[in-house]
Amino acid sequence: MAGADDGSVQPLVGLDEITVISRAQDGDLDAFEQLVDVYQGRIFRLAYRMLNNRPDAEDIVQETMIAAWRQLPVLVTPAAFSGWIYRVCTNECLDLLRRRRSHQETSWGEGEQEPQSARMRSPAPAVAAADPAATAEMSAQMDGLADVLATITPEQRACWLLREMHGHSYQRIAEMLQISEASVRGRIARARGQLAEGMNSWR
Amino acid sequence: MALEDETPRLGCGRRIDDLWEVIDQPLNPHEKSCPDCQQARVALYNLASVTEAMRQHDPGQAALQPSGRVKETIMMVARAEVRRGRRIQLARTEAGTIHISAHALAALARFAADTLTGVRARRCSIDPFTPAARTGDAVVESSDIRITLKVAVSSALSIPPTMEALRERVIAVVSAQVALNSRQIDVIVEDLYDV
Repeated sequence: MAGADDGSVQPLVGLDEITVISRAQDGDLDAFEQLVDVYQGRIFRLAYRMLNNRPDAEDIVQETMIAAWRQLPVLVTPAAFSGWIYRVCTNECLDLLRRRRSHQETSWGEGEQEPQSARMRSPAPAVAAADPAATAEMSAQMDGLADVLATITPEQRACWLLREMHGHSYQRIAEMLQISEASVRGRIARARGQLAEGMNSWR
Repeated sequence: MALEDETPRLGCGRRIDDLWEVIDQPLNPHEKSCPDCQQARVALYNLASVTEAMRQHDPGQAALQPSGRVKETIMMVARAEVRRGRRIQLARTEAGTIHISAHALAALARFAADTLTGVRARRCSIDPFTPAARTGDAVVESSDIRITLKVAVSSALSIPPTMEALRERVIAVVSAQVALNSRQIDVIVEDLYDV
C-alpha cells in the first residue's frame, strides 16, 4: 500500500519495498536509509499539517524513524510497515498536541501558532499555470485551507489528512488509530463539513 | 467522543458523506429543490478542489521536506545501534580465536544471493543447531550454525534450477570465509515479484 502516497520520492532503487523492509529488519543500514528516504517526506508532511510547526514536525519524524529502526526486527509482517509508521507518527502528533493543551489552556490555533512571519505560506505552484491570477488564487485558497485545518479537532484533522493527503482507506485509518471504521467515517465527514464551512467564511 | 462519531447531517437530514460521493455529478431532483443541499454542495465542491490542489502541491515542495540534519541524526542513531548478533568462531590461532558476527555473515549470504539475476535476498537468520547454544554463550562454533536465507524470485524464472544455482552461489561465497557444508544452508522462496 506504499503506492497510496507516491509523493515526489524516489522509487526504492529498483527493489520492491518488502525486500527493502526485510533487509532493514536484519539490520541492513543501506536498506534502512532507503526507507528513511521514502518515508521521511511523507511523515513530515503529515506531522507539519498536524502541528503547524516545523521544528516539532522534524522532531516527530526523527522519533518515528528511530522507533522504526528499533521495532523493525520484531515486526512480523513487513507489509505492515507502512501502516505502522503512519500510526506511530499520528499518535506522536496527537500526544504532543495533548501535552500542549494541558500545558496551556489556550485553544489550539490561537495561542500556539508560530508568528505569521515564521509560518510557511504556500509558494506558487512550481508548474506555471496558464492563468497566473488563478494560480495565485488557488495558492491563497490552500493557505486558507491550512488555516482552517488548524481549527478542527486534532483527531478529525488526523483522519482527514490520512484520507485526503495520504490516500489511505477508511479501513486502514481505523487500523492505524485503533478506532472503528464508523468513527473514522464520522470524523472525516465532520471534518469536511467544518472545513467547507470554514473555507466559505474565509473567502 | 460519542457525539463526534455520529454521522454529520445537513439541515435536510441528508448525510454529508452521501453528498460528497456525488459532488461531481449533476443535481438530482432532491438537490434541485433543497437549499441546504445546494449551499453545502457549493462549499464542498470548493473544498474538494482546494483539497485536490493541496494533495498535488505538497509532495513537491522543498519547504515541506525535513532538513538534511534530521536524516543525519536518524542514521547516526541507527549506526550506533546496529545489532551484530552472536559471534561465530571461525578459527583458533596461536594469537587467539577469530570470529565473525552473525550480522556480517548474514550480509555476506545476502550479497551472494544478490549476484544472481532475478533473485532478491530478504531476511537471513543464523541460528545454532544445538538448542543449548541458542540460549547460552554468545559465541558458537561455525560447524554448529544453520543459515536460513529467504528470497524473492522473479516470476519469469523457473524456481528449482534457480534455487539450485542460488544454493551453490551462497555456499561458494560463504564457505570462502566460513567452513560450512551444504546441509547448513537453507534457502526459502517466500515471494515472487513481477518483472
